[in-house]
Amino acid sequence: MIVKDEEELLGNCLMSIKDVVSEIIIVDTGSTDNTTSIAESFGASLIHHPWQNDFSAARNAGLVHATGDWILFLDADEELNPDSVDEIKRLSEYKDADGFFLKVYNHFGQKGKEASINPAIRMFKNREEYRFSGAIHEQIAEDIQKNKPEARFVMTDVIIDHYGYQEEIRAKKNKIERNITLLKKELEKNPDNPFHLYNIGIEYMQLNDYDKALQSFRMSRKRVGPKVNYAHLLYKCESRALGALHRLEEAITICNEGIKLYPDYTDLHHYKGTYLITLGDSAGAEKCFQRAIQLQPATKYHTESGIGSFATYYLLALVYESQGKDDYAIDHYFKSFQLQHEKRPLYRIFQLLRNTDREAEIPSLLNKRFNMHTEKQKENLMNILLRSHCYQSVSMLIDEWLQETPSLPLQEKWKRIKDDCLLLHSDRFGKRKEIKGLPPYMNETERWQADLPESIHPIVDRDSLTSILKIEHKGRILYNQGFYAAFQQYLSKWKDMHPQMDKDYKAHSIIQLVQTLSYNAEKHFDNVLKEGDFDLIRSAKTTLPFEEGWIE
Amino acid sequence: MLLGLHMIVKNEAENIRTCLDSIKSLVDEIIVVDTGSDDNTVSIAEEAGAKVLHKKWDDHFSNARNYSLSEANTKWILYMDADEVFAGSFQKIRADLENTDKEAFFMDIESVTGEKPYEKVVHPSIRIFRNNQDYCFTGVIHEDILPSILKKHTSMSVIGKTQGKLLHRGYSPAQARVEKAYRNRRILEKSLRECPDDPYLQYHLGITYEQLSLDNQAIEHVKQSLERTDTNQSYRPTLVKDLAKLYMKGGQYDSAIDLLKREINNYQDYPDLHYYLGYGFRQKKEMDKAIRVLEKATKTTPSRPYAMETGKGTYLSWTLMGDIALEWNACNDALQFYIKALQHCPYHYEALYGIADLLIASGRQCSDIKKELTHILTPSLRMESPLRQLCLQEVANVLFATGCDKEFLDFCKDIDGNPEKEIFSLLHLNHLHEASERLDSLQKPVSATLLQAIIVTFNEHSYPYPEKMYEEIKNNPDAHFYNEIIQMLLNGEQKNSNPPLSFLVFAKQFLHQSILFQAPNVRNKLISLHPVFQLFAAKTSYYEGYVKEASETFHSLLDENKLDLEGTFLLGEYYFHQKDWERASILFEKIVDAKENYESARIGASLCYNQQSKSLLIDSIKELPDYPLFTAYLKKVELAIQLSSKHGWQTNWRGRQRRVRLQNEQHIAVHDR
Repeated sequence: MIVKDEEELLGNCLMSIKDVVSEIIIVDTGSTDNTTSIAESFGASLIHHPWQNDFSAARNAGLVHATGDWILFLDADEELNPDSVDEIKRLSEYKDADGFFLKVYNHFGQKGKEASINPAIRMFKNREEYRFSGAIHEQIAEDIQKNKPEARFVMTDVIIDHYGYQEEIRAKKNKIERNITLLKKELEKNPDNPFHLYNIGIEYMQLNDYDKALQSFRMSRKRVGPKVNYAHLLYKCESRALGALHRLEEAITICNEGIKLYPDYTDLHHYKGTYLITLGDSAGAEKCFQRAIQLQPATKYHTESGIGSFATYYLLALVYESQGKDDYAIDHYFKSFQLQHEKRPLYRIFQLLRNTDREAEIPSLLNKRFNMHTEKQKENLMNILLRSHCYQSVSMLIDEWLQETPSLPLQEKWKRIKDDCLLLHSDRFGKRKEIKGLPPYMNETERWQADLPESIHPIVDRDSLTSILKIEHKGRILYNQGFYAAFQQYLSKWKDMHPQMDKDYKAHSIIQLVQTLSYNAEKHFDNVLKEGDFDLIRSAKTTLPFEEGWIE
Repeated sequence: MLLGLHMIVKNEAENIRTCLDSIKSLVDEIIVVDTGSDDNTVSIAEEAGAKVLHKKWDDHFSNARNYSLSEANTKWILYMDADEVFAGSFQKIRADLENTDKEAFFMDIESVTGEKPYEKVVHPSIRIFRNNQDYCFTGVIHEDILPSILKKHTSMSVIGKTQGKLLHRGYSPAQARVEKAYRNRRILEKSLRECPDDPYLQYHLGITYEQLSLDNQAIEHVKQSLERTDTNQSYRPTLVKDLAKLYMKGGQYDSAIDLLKREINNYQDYPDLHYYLGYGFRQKKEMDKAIRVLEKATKTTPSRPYAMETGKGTYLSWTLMGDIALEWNACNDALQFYIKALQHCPYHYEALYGIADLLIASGRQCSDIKKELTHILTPSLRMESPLRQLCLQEVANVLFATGCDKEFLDFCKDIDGNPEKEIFSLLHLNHLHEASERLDSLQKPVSATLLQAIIVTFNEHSYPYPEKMYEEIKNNPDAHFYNEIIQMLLNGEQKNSNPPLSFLVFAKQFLHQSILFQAPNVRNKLISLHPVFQLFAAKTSYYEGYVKEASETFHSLLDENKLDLEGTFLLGEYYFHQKDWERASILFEKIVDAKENYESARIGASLCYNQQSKSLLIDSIKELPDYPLFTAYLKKVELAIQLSSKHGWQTNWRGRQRRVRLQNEQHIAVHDR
């Protein structure tokens, strides 16, 4: 870690990892508070490294002293999530990995689970050749790849909670306002200075004040020639401001003008594609995204991560999906996943295959394209499949896995999941003789109004988020077996438990409940769509909250 | 001589005088071919100055028409039928003919298709052509001069268009229509045997089958004809429209939609096709597509002569759009659409009704409806004119249909009222004495519905039946049934413990009236006639707007396991409107279990779940404000609700029913959740 004056946060951070790591190395860049004594109390080795305006240099100063096989690096406002302790310990089993993506949850709320998830390489092999580069956004991946082009980075579910995010956002906002004040003063003196106009436009964009941003970009663009080093960016910025204002045709015109001058600027093609999607021109969007992918992420111009890469692939896949070109869509979702290791594309693939009655293809697809060797890998994929309601594929996969003769407890566990899957999958007309854990078999005509028996109330296990998934499964079995009254009673019992839950857990539970209800609605929409090509119902279906694996 | 009129006639004594009077002064000679009249057609024609030729009818129209051509002494030939009347400027047409290099001219034929003044279709037809020995009619039926002209001149540019118009009085007695259809069928079948590949003949044979109510054969022939007709044939767009209408008549909306979607590419500027496509989408509950297509109908200007039905591209499309907007509760849009419709046809009943309906939906009173309608129509009502009379008549009809009985009766004082409707209104208002007086002074025979309504209301209020009623029953073929009902209502019990089906069907109409006129005693006595009447009465009550009492019956029938799917759906819909999503969803699911493709139940169920999500999210946002994901999800769920609600799935109460339901619901305490 590198730290400076972090006495407030450092304790929590170190507490979260002290049992996971074998040594703690802290580079202090000049603290004047209790930071160093806190570090020492956790047995950390302290290295004093005067601040040189270079994050990489500071991080590398610590690396020199590392003796372990693996390096984990954190910031003081980050903590290892307690649920991930076991998993991170197991990561060292991966002998052929060079680095691990951990999931950084940037929390918005004070301590809420409402967060943006950012997978980042935070753990890598301790080798002399691997060093950080970049003065501000220090990076390790580049260096590892340079030294070992075939390097393997493994996606994991280890969660790093980043709580300082809210503060950082606030600080950033203050900075924007300060910058705007400064730039305004400058512009009073030089109202035509295109560089100041451009910069103030950028600040307005950050404040979501798109009208003012647009005005500034336009004025700036009129006053610079195309050769000026930020001129290309003015086209992108102007089109984005117009896009944000829903003036899509104009946004596209600006992209086209920009493309005339900078035909190889990936971002302009990408953004043009996004506007065309919104306008419903999927063929046009398709061409733009294809071009953006062909051009690859821009090197000569300003760009954002994912453009010409995973983000473009994802959008192109969405376009293919809307055109009914399912196999193209699957390919491109998969490419997006490979480049970014975010799970959203996987959810889309599974949902797409399930919706098109091709669920049976999932196991072979997974076998071909994924590593499913360890129990953890299997479980990860299985959870995504379960959350995508692909129960049939899970039971098929489990059949395959059982042939590999795993340990007995694991066999038991998988068989249990498979039993559930049969109930979860069998449709409402499947007449099952014996349903474990459900009310005694009743006359068919009475099923729908049967009451919920005491024995199957939802049960909350506060220590595990996956218990919410179990609650949903029990409810879904009731529903699938046609116990509609019992299902509704179950839902209300589920809601009744909310007051006893803590805030974060409750939030997860609410989201799951909504998703349960949405899935029911979705199934009905699917059936209506079998009867005809109803645009309204199709749109309603795609609008429904989409399972994206928020809870892991 | 410049222009001669040529006609073929048979027994047209009733029509031919008006026809000839309208055209005499335009033409220089009149030649009539009579194919065997046995009335005084010939003498009327001769009186009007016509030269009459006689020809034996040989089931061949062209032969008959061509017969007179060789006798023509004029440069130009005009041909007409006896049931047509000329309208337009003679001078203008003659001047056109004097200085032109055209070979022939189109004229618009305007045919009446219904009772309302705006129900007509306009189609262009070549009616004037040069007297040239190469030009003659072809076709045994639906004879056509065009092919012979195109043999000499390959381009349509030699055909011009005149200002004149022929009004075709399409309404002949049903008997005559059927006879004509049989005749045409005979001719067409015979000529099809001779030239089996002629798509034009086959098209007309299809239409003839339709006139004979043989719809399946009609579709088959018109479809085959379409497949073999070249895209640029002038009659082809009409053929497409006719086929689409035939499909829709038989409820085959999917086929009609497929056909129109495909063919509109060929005839994008034909408003009627857009209208029918929109109509089809609406029937399929695809309201969004319907609106878009109807809007296109209103924006389309035809660039070539099509057979146009009046209003398809204007007020009929606007009115349908208004109806859809109103179903979506978009009252402002609906109002705009209806007003646009009225700008094209101020006396269009459905548009006026739509406005009244939306006023009811916005909770306005009857007096307001009368005020608003007359206000909107001010420009048309200002002067005493036939237009004013038409408008007032339709406003009155609307007031009646929306249950504004007092206003309707008031209104009738100023116009030629409708005596039966006025009695109905008196019954609704419980003014039985006046109703009785009015009935007795009624000259015409009384309709069955009015008779039933009288019996129901007078019995309910133990008021002596009017004299006229007994008279009417005496002359009625169902007199014994009427008497049996009256007896039963009097004694409260039925004579026959096992009444015949025909009697039950008869009694069912009384049951409906007893619900409409809120006569609970009569209703209960009738229900006791047969067990199935309970469900029927509940459904009727529900559709008539008495949802609360209907739902109670549904509920008890459900407990006894006697509720059918429709009833279950209505009960589900009732709970849905009470915002009892849980109960509603259970019922909708039960329906879907029994019938997988019960579309409305599926949409109802999905809406229940989404509504549950919505209220859960709204509560959660209040309680845990710092989770932005809740807000994002809420937006999605709300949008899904909005979109799926627009797919018509619910009962659509309109007019009087809507008013009843609104009043009925005000008395229902909102479900305690």
